[in-house]
Amino acid sequence: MSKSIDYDKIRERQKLIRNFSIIAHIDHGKSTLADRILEHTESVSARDMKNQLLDSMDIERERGITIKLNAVEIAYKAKDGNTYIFHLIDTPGHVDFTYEVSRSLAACEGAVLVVDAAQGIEAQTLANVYLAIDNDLEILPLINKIDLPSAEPDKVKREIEDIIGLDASDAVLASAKEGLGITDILEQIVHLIPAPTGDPEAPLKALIFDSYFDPYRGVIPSIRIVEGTVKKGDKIRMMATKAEYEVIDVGVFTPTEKKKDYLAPGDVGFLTASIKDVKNVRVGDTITSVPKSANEPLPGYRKLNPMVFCGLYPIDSGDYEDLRDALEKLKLNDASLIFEPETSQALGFGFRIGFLGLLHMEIIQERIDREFNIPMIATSPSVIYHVHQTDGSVVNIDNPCDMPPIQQIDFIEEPYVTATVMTPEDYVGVIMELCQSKRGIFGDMQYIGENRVQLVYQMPLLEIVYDFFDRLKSGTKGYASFDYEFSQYRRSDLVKMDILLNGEIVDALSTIVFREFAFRRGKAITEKLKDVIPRHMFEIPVQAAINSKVIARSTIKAMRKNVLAKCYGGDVSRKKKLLEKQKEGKKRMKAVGNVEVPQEAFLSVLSLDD
Amino acid sequence: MLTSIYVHIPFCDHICTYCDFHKEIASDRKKRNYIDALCRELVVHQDDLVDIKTIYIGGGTPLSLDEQLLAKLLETISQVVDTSRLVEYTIETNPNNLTASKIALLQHHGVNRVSIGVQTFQSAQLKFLNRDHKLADVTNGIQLLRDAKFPTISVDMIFSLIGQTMAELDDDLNKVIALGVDHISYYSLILEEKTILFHMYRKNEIEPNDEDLEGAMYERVIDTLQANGYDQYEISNFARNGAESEHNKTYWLNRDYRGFGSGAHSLMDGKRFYHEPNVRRYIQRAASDDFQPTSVEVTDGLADALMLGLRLTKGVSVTELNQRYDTDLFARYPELNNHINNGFIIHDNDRLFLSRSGILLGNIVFQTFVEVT
Repeated sequence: MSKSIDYDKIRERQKLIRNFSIIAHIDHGKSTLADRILEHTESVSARDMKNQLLDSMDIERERGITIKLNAVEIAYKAKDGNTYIFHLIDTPGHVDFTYEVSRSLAACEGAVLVVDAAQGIEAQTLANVYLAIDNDLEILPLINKIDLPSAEPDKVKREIEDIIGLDASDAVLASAKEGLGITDILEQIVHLIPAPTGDPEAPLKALIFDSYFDPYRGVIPSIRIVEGTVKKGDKIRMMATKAEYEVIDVGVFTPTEKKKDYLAPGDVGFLTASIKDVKNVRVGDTITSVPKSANEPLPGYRKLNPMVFCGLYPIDSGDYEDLRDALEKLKLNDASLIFEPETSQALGFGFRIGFLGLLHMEIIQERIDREFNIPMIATSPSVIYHVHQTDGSVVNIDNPCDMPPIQQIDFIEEPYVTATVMTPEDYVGVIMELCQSKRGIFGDMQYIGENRVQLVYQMPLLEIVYDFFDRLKSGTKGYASFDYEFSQYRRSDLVKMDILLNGEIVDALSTIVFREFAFRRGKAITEKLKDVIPRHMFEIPVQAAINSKVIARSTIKAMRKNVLAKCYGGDVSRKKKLLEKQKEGKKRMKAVGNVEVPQEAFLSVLSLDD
Repeated sequence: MLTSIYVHIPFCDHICTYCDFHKEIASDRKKRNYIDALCRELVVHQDDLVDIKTIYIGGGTPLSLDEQLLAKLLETISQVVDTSRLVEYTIETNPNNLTASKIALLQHHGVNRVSIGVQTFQSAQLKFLNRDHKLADVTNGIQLLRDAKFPTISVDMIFSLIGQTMAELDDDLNKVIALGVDHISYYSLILEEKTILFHMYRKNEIEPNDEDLEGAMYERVIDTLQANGYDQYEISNFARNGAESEHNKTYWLNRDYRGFGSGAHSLMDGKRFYHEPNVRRYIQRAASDDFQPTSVEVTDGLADALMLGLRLTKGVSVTELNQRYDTDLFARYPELNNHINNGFIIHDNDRLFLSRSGILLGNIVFQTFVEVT
């Protein structure tokens, strides 16, 4: 079939492999550093360089963040004369994507920690560094943007030592933008990150750390070989799902796909095997060979549970199956995404989706819209409530519509998170005020470095879901950074607030609110809906109600005048275009009873200036 | 059969803040070259112009052309069209462009209707709209036309101006009625993209009127003009003693018309097409007699006939449309029944026409006749 494998050659080659990730806070320059490394190693000709090469999804490029991980094989000729094989595995920087970070870290032996020389350590950096340390990775600090006038590399070094507890004496001083310090970090990668261990003659163990779907070749898993080898024609088995396939091709990303004869320990690449069913390939699963199976799979990942939920409904009910298909494809390389069918009286058939956090939710919604082009309505996000009923039973509710009748509720518990905010000291007052207005319970305050403060609060996740990020950002001119993790469930005085349009409850607009906030929020929502729902041919009352008692009301007035005036020298096409635009706008709305509700209405409850 | 032509003059002396028509401020040389090109287009197509009944020279500001160029244009039209057989021959103008000699020139060539852009009688509003005429220009211009026994005078007005009050509108209405002209077009201000006003709106410098006020103003315009002898015969058009615009009715009755000049639109044999709105390229292409339209769109004749025909207050004839397009209106557009039930359309004998509420919310009806994918 294929020529026999020279294991001695593989062992020699293995010594030259270095697998690493880059960990950084958003905007600290991770993608630019990755680009420079690629350029420096001449993996990519300058002509092919697009800025931020690794970020291939449009959304990533636009938002300047990395969501999905990517892996690239690079050849680097070091000062010792050897040519090393680097595998650079990209990681997302945002807290919502901790799960993905842990996936990419599991495929590495080392990580470059990028810290902005002017900004210092941020809250989200901490979480990812500790994740890397937990994974036993060698961490190489790199202080970036030293060309900035406001750069304070010595101060940042101290922060790395004081806050994280890493030795920063050898930290590379770099400016990825200017190309400074790139050789230094490449040399450190060679000398400080260990070569992968793993026996090429052992039974195959390959970790699936990502996968994507190709319409012609099926599901393509991205893999890290830990033990053994895999080549074209091998019979393989997915250890968790037991599915078996014959390998069609193996290869690496350079960053374009390049076929190889085989993949051996330390290699990071892909295989194709005509895998049609996306469910059979689970990220975190181990691939082994059928004739010579491994006894134990590799340890999986720290699996994170979704914390934020919302409903997604196709605007056109005919798109329901397409939406399911889109969700399944997204789940393929985003195992943290969970979904199940649900039905809304107002919106019809859709899905209840669980996300790791708010950014994760936004990204998924945007990807469905852009990559699959399915117009849809997203309901306002919710968290999981523990509802203790009078009969002593407890139900978990992630959708306000499922709330039992008020007479059956004894009390409700809601999830609290430990929220950590790092900020220049000037903003401490603003942040404390914000946290308190969001029902935060003060935990701790510490100076970290000269002018920087770390604040810790216990806060209801529900309040973080409501515009906490935006207000933190605007209140601190973007200087504060924020991270949170689940802490515990606490008893709270919560009520379900319904919204009525034209006298009818719109289930998809129901929310759970803290009782004391209900009146204010009800008033804000009804006012907002009055502005976002266009006028109709009839007057529409908008009401907020708790337990069928109306607490706030506004009115959408009936349409008064809507007619095109002028015929422009016989330019009828233009008149038609305007009419088409109006009609098109209507099509993107969801008919709820006899009221046409635009998509933004369902999210309007989120962006209230209360 | 082609009975109407439109001639576009894309030149102005200044730019009004609300205007997004195809126009520019050009050098005399460019204007000369353009008129040459335009005359050439008319001459090349003169075989199509044997049955012309209406001509409309619009812009831009056609009467802002100097007398020499104006004369050249009018002479050329007289050569290619038998102007003695015209029922209507209109030119657009600003009040300050009306002079005794230009009026004489117009009459010499058979122009029998002027459409004057008055817009409002509020000085501050005129300034805000960047109109460069003075209030006296309106009365002076109309006096010159009367002195010359000029046949038909129309004026254009705008309501729902930024910050306009109902009292200001009443003042405008009183003054426009006092002019005693034959025809009034009264448009609501629309913030079109690519206008100065729209940019101001985007920067939150101005706030358009509330829809309720705009609706009330529109009704005030209709009621006041009707009470003073001006019949509303179209959404925005009012005529006294039957002086309806025959040319504009060709658009609303979905009959063929041919547009000449840069950016001009045409409907011929069920196809809509237009010249690219670009004066420089129009002149360049005319040098090689290239007057090919930019794009040709085959239209749904019935849909257009309804969308446009219902703008006329007398509406459309069901039998006539059924026969002309070999169809059954109500089977083709079942939504017509909803509009009738909602009181937007009145079905009286054989005719369908908009009610008052249908006029106010005409777009809801017109949307029925456009397709979105």
